[in-house]
Amino acid sequence: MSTIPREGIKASEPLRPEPATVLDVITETPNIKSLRLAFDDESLMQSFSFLQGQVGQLSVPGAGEATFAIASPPSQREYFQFSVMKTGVVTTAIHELRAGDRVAVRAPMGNTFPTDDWKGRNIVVIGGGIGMAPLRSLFMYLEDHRDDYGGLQLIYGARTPKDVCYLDDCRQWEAGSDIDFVTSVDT
Amino acid sequence: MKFIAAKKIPDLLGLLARDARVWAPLVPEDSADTLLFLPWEPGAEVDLERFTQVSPKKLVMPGSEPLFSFSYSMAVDCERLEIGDARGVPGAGGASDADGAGEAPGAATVLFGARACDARSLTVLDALFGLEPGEAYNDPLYRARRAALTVVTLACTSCDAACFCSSWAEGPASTEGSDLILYPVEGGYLARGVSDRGEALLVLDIWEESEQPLPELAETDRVPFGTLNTKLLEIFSDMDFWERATERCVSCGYCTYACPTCYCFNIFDEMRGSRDGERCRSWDACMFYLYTLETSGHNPRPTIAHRYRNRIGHKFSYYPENQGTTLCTGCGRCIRGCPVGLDIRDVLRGAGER
Repeated sequence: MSTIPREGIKASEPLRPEPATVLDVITETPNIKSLRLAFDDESLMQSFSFLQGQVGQLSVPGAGEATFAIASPPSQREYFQFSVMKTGVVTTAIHELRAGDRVAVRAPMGNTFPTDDWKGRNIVVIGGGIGMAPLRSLFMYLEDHRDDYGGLQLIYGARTPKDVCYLDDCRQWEAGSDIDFVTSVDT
Repeated sequence: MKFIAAKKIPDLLGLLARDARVWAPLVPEDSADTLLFLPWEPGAEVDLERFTQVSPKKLVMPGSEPLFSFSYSMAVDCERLEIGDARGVPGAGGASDADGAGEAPGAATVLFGARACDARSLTVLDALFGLEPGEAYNDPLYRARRAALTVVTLACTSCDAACFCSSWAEGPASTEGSDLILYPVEGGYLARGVSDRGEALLVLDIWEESEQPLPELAETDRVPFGTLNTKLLEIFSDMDFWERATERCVSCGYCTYACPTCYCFNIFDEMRGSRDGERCRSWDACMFYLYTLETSGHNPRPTIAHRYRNRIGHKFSYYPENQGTTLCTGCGRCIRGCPVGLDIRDVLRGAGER
């Protein structure tokens, strides 16, 4: 675990989150929103790094804190993204947020995918519904390092057509000539 | 060897209390049958005979403590977010003296009259919370409290039917986690320094010299652990076993709160008015239905049997796998205090024979 970078969380204060601002809110589905965030501390934002698949703790002070996968790729330096389904107290508060609102974040945390071990192989990424969030980060990482891998296939499904997240990304993946994108819905 | 007469123990406590807050086994005012680690004041009579009902873990992990304070508003035009230090916020998170949060993290504290099982439990928790800033996991509040804690252990020359620390190699003779150990002998206690901090206490101008030999320590019940760690994985799906084992359990959670090594906690925000609040951490218990209830309504540990299986598996299989030590020191509190007489040793022996 010691190899996982923790740039972002202050080692001396791992329990204390850093203030961040909501740059953009994207309504993905009727109950899922994506939030693009940046730390208020510019030097922290510049040094902030994470690995595909890692998570963060997002706080709306007063409502509480919850864990979400970071859905943006490590190469995206302007913002980091969480995609959140509205289910409970914290996620309901998150769904109230608008661009310009401030939140607090502890990140990165958790583990990554062993992408180095996959080099030279064909990769199939299979995801469903909001479970696509960490896989979006992973798949975009693989696209960023396209030459390191063989065939890239993404199979993504959701319960119904209106539950499909990341429609803009889906259109790009569909149009991409060097990736195989398959999508499906249950009903 | 250094010796102190029993009647001079209050004087020793007085010396210790000059530089630190001293917590010792005391009878609370309102409950003569109860013995708890409480802040010692001159005149208070420590009980060095009975066992405390609740472990001293609150001194490194308070029952409830604030992590930080904040001032926040989402209202349009007055949106602000300040994240500050919660230390010094009186009563934040329901924190009170009784659950150990009365002192700021890092304030010098003496735990007096811990038993070997209690002292060793601190080293078991150290493995998880981390003592060095560079470790993969480290908890600054735990670390600050731990670094400021001096442990004066009372060696056990007798035990009761619930004790089972002899299940581990050193049993009552373990020095792990202790700074100074007091051995009950005729007329008082022999003292032995275990750490530099403990040795430093031996220069206090209160000790006499004694030729008395160290007393024979208690020999408790033993649970044969053997390959229990892998056995517990083998019987993971044996719900018949777990359901029988927990037929009497009422899921009250007493065992987890009394335990010196149970460390599960919940984190939540507590507001004071509409803007100001504290993020707090409080003990939680894996025996509670709500502990694993997911937002969707699904609960992966829906029955008492599922939850007790997790408690046992964590203590005797997963924690040893991850941290190299069992998450139990055999103090017996969960056995003495269980309202339905559930004995963890019966379950462990039953698992071993399965």
